[in-house]
Amino acid sequence: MSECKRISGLFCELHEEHVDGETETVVWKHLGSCPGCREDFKWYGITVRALTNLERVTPPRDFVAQLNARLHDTRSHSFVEFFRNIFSAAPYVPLPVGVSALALVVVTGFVFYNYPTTEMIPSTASSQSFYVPGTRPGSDPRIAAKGVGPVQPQQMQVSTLMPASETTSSSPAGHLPLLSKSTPDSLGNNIETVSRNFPTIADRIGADNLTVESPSIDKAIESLKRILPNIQGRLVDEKNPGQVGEVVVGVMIPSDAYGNLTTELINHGAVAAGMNESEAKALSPAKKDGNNVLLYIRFVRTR
Amino acid sequence: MVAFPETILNCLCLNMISLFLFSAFKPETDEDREIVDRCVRGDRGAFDVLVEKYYKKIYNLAYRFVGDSEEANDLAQEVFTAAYQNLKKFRGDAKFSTWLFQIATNRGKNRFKYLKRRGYFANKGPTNGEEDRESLQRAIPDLSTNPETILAGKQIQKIVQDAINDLDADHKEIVILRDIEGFSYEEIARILNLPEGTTKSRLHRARMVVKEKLKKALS
Repeated sequence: MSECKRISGLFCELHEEHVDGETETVVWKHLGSCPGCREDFKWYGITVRALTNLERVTPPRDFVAQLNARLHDTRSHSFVEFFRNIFSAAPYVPLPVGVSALALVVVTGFVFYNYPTTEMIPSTASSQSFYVPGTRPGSDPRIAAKGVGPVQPQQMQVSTLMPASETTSSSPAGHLPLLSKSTPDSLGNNIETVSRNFPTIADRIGADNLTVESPSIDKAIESLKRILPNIQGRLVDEKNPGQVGEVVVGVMIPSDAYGNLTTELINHGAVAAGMNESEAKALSPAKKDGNNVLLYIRFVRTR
Repeated sequence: MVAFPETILNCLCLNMISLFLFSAFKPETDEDREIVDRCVRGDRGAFDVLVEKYYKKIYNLAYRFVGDSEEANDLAQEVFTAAYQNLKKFRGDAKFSTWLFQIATNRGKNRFKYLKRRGYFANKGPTNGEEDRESLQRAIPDLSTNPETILAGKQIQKIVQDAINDLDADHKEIVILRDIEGFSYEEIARILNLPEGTTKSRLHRARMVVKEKLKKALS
């Protein structure tokens, strides 16, 4: 039986005369003695002949005309095809070139992704003010974020992120209106919404370059103090660097609350203004202490 | 007699050897290459030349894949359309005909699978009925007397085509390329991107399946 299987496995070679002399002798000897295999081989030959003798079917007479019409249709979609084939004009770009191009695209993408949007504003926009909607410019408090280090003069239209109902409310104290009015829950929601929408700007401002501009510094500091318990922060320092009407407050806050605090400050209006390096160095830089961040905020009187 | 300088003799011998090697390993020339180049440059007439040259073969191959003239017509046109659209991608590593048949085989295989899934071949049905078999046997008085004539008969043709339709796509493509289109094993291996050994073993299995069907129908 196994011999018959082995022989039938050689039918193809035998039929096409691709077996060597010795094997051929063995196969023919077997076929001579095994009527089953002989019959199978005969049918194998008939099958191959039946397949090779299949008549050639002829295409319809108008095949070429139909094809031309189809190709014409295809060409009429050339505008779409242009965009489809825009990258296939040179489909066999060498692999290293392709990989390098891809890497370049990825790196460029990352660079742009990590580049703060504020840095893309031309440096000529030296100072821009944004007021909380519904409040009177000039009389209402503003929070100013001043750039130092890598941060250039910036502008932030933060008020557009705020819901209308919130933006029109005013503070009981008249300073940092939303901060003082918000309950911890609504404050948390507000912070979270803003953080989601505006995740990186607060971080990029830096811990040591926040300046809050207010007509009444004392009231603004009071408002800040009210926020601190909500984010498990505390006041650690309060000093006057020498300028009249200017107070620097040091707050210790959990590092994960840093983004929330800065976002909250920005959320209530922001002013972009420059600060020179010596001025920035004069202020103590923020220090990271395990999970806490020491953040210095400068309060200045509205100009 | 003046002795031929040995160094010159050596040089001549080396030259002859290198010439022989060059001719032996020279890449296969593609007679269609120039036409394809013209076509890529935008000469629409050049593509017509290629169509004229291959459309009968492609149609025949398409017909064997789908077993129906209307479907074959559509498939063959699809093949040429795809070839026209992708001509720029033809690198010339293989002959144009190999590339074209590669497209045709892939498309044919996909169309066959698609039709099979939709029960297209089940609706057509092979000639298994008792009546068909009787009429067939009357039409074939003695297979051993003149097999070529008998095998050319319409009914046998249908049995063979039905047997091909029953093959799975991988076996079917090899039978079509080898036994119907007459490609060499080397060409088939190139078209299907398979080792020659695999091509031969698949062909053998496919023929054995067709043989059983033919034997059953004719015995």
